[in-house]
Amino acid sequence: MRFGGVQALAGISYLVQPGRVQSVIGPNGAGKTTLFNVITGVYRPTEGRVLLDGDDVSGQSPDRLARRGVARTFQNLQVCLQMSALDNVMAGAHRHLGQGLLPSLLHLRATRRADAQARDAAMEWMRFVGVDRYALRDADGLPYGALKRLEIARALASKPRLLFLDEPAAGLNPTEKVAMRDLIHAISERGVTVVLVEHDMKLVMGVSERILVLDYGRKLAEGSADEVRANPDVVAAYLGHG
Amino acid sequence: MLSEFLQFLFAGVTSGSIYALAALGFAIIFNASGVINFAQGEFIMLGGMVSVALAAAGLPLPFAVVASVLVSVVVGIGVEKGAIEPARRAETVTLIIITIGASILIQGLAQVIFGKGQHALQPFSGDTPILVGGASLLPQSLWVLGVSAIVVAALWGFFNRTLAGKAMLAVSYNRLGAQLVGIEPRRVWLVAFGLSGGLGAVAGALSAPITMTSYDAGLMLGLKGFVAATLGGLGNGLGAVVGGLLLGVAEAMTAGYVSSAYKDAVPFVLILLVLVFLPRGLLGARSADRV
Amino acid sequence: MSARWRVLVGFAVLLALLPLVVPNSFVLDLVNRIAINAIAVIGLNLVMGYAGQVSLGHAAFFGIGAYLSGVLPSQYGWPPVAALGAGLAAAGGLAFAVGRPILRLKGHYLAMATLGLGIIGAIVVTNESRWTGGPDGMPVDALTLFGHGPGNEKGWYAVLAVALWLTVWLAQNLVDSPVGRALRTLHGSEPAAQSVGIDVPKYKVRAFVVAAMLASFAGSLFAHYVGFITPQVSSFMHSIELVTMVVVGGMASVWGSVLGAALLTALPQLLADFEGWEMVLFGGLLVVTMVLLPRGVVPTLARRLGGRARA
Ligand SMILES: Nc1ncnc2c1ncn2[C@@H]1O[C@H](COP(=O)(O)OP(=O)(O)OP(=O)(O)O)[C@@H](O)[C@H]1O
Ligand SMILES: [Mg+2]
Repeated sequence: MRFGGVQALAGISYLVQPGRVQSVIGPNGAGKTTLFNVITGVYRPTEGRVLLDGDDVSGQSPDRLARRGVARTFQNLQVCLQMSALDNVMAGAHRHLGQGLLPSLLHLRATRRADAQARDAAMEWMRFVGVDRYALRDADGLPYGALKRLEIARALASKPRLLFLDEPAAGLNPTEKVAMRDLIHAISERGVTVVLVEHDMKLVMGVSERILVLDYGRKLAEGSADEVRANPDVVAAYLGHG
Repeated sequence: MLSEFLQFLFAGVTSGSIYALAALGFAIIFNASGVINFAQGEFIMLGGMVSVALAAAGLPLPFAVVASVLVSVVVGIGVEKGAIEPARRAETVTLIIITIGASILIQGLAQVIFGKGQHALQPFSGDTPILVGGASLLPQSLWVLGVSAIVVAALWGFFNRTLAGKAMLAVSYNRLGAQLVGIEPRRVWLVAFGLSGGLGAVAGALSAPITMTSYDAGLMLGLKGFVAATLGGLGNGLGAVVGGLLLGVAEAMTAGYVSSAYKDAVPFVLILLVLVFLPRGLLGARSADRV
Repeated sequence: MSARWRVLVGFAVLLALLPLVVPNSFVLDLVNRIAINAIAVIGLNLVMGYAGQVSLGHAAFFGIGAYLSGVLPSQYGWPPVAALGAGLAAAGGLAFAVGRPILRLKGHYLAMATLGLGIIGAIVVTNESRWTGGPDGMPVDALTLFGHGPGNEKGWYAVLAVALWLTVWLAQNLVDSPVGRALRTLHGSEPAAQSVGIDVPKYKVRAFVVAAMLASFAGSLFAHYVGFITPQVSSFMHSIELVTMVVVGGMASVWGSVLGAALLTALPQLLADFEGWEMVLFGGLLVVTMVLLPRGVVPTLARRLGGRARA
C-alpha cells in the first residue's frame, strides 16, 4: 500500500487465525492502522490482495465487508457525538434491521418490533462493555474511556465474526487498562476473533496468542509472545526508535 | 471567422478577469477562516455603485473609484467584525446563512441609498474601440486586464514575499501552529475580509462601465466567483485565477457560438461536470481521507 | 399512547382549531403559505439536518413540481393530480440520478454542486418560455379531483393541514427508524457508518430523493394554490429561503422546520410596513438570529428548557 511517495505497507502476508486474540504491534507510523484500513476496505490496496473465506475482497467497500461480519473500532474515535450513546450502539445493529425505505417511513409493525429488539440488544451490549449507565446521554460529553468502550459496543452490536480494535487502551488509566484486557478476553470467549493494535506491551502480551510486528511498513516478526520478545530484530526496532 | 473568435475571446478574457478577482476574494477568505463568504458579490456591487454615485456627485473618476474601494474594505471588515467573528464556532451551514444574511443586508442598504435603477460608470479612458485582428477591443477591457494582472501580481508578492502575507498562509495551513508562533488568527480574518472587500470593489469598478450595475448585480457575480474558486480548487490562488479566466472564456464562446440565453448556465454546467470527475476541483489536492 | 403520538395528536388538534382563531382570510392565506413551505422545509431538513448534507439548490425540485403542475394540465390536458404525481416522479427521478455523483462531494464542494443544479433549473425555466411563459410566469389551473376542488382559502386550509400533518408524521417516522438512524450515523461519522455496514451513498441518495419529492409536492400545491407561478419558485433566492428556514428553525428538528417556515414566511409580511427597508431588516435579523442562536430556535430552546424534546 502506498500513498503518493509513502510506502506504508510492503510485502506483508498475514493470516488472521480464527477464534483467537492476536495483536499487531510496531513503532509509530509502522503501518498498523493502514493494515487495518486495507483489511477492512477503507483503502484499496495498490498492490496485493485481501482474502475473506477465500474470496478476494480487496478494495471492497467497508460497508460490504461489515455486512459480511467484519467490525472495527478506530484509533481516532469515530463516535457520533450528536446522537445518544444508545443510538450509537443501535447503529451497530444496522445490518440486522429492516432497511427498506417504505417500512421506515410508515413505521410498519415489523420494523418497529425489530427496532425494539435492537434496542434491547444494544442495552445488553452496553452492559457487557460497562457503559449502560450512559445509555440515554448524548455521546458528546461522555468520558474518553466510555467513548472507547462505546465504540466496542457498537462494533459488537453488529454481531461480527472478526473484530479489529485499533488501540483500544490508548489514553486509558492503569485500572481501565486492566478492565480493557478483561473485556477483550470476554469478547474472545464469545467466539469473536479479535485483532488488536496496541502500544501497551503488558496488555498485548497478556491477551494475545499471536503477535505480528511491523516496522516501516514491513513485517519484522510473527509468532507467540515469547517468540516475538526473544526476536533480536524486534528488540532493535523498539530500542532503536521506539 | 478569426476576427469573430478573437471578439469572443476578448469578451471572455475580460469577464474572466473579473471572475478571477471575485474568485480570489473567495479564496483569501476561505484560506484564512474556512468560511465561504456569500457576501463577496456585494463587494463587487459596491465597487460599481459607490463609484457611480460619487462620480455623479461630481467627484473625479479616479477618486470615486478609490473611495469605492475604501468603502468596500470597511464593509468587508464590518462583515467580519459584526457577523463572522461572533459566530466563529458555528457550523458551516450556519456560517453560510450568516454571510447570506450580510449579503441581503448590504444589498438592502444599497437599494435604500442608490435606488433600484441600472447605472453605468463612464469608461476610464473613452470608448473608441481599438481594432485588433479585425476584432474590436474596448479601452475599458484593457483597463480590466491590466489592473487585474497588477492586482494578481501584487497579491502573489504579498503572500510570498511579505511577513504579513506569509503569516496569513500559515494560519490557513495550521491554525494552532500559527497561534503558537504568535500569529493572531482574528487579525488574519480581519485582514482577509478587508482585502477581499477591496478586491471585489476593484473588480466592480472596473467592470461597471462595461456591464452596467445595480443594487442586485452582486448576486450572479458572486456566485460565478464561487464557481471559479471551486473550479480551480478551493483556497488555491492560482486555481482561482485559472478558474475565473476559464469560466469567462467558456461563457463568451457559448454565448457567441451556441446560445446567449444559456450563457449564464455555462459556469454551473461546467462546475458540475468538473466536480463529478474531480471532486476537489482542477488543482485541488487529491489525498485519501484519513481515519 | 407514546409521547410521539401524543405530540402528533396535539398537532392535529391544533391544526383543527387554528381556523377558529384566525381573524381573516389574509392571515389564513399566510397560514396556508406557511404550511406549503413547511412541507418542503421538513424534506430539506432530512437532507441537511439529519443526513448532514448541504443543499443550496432545493428550489429546483420545488420548481419541477410547480411547473409540471402548471404546464401539464393547462397545455396537455392532464388531470392536476396526475401532474402532481408526474412532478413527484420527475423530482425523485432527478434526485436519484444526480444524487450519487453529487452527494459524494464534501462540504463546500457539495454546496457548490447543489447550488449549480438549482441555478441551471432556474435558467431552464426562464428560457423555455414556450411552456413556462419565461420570466413573466404562467397561470396555473385550479386543483380539482373528479370535478371538486378546495375552492377558497378555507378549503385549501383543510387540504394543506392534512398534507402538512402527514408530512410531519412521515418525517417523524423516518427519523425514528433504522433508516433515520443510519442517516444520523453517517452525518456523525462516515467511517463509523461504513464500519457497521451502512451503504453511505445509498442512504444519502435516499434522503435526497425523499426531500426532492416533498419539495416537488410543495411546489405543486403552491402552483395550484396561488394560481400563478414565475421562475422565482425555482430561483437561487428561493433555495436560500428554504435553507434559511431549516437553519433558523433548527437543524435535525422536524418541529424546528415547521417553526422556521412559519417565522420566515411571516417575517416579510410583517416587514412590508417598513417600506424600502425590508431587505435591510430581513438581512439584519437573519444575521442576528444566527449569531445568537447558531443551532436554530427549537434546539436552542429545547436545550435552555433542559428538556430532552429532541424532535
Ligand atoms: N491517508 C494517508 N495518506 C498519506 N499517508 C498516509 C495515510 N495514511 C497513513 N499514511 C502514512 O502511512 C504510514 C503508516 O501510518 P499508520 O497510520 O498506518 O501508522 P501506525 O502504525 O498506525 O502508527 P501509530 O502507532 O502512530 O498509530 C505513515 O507514514 C503515515 O503517514
Ligand atoms: Mg495507528
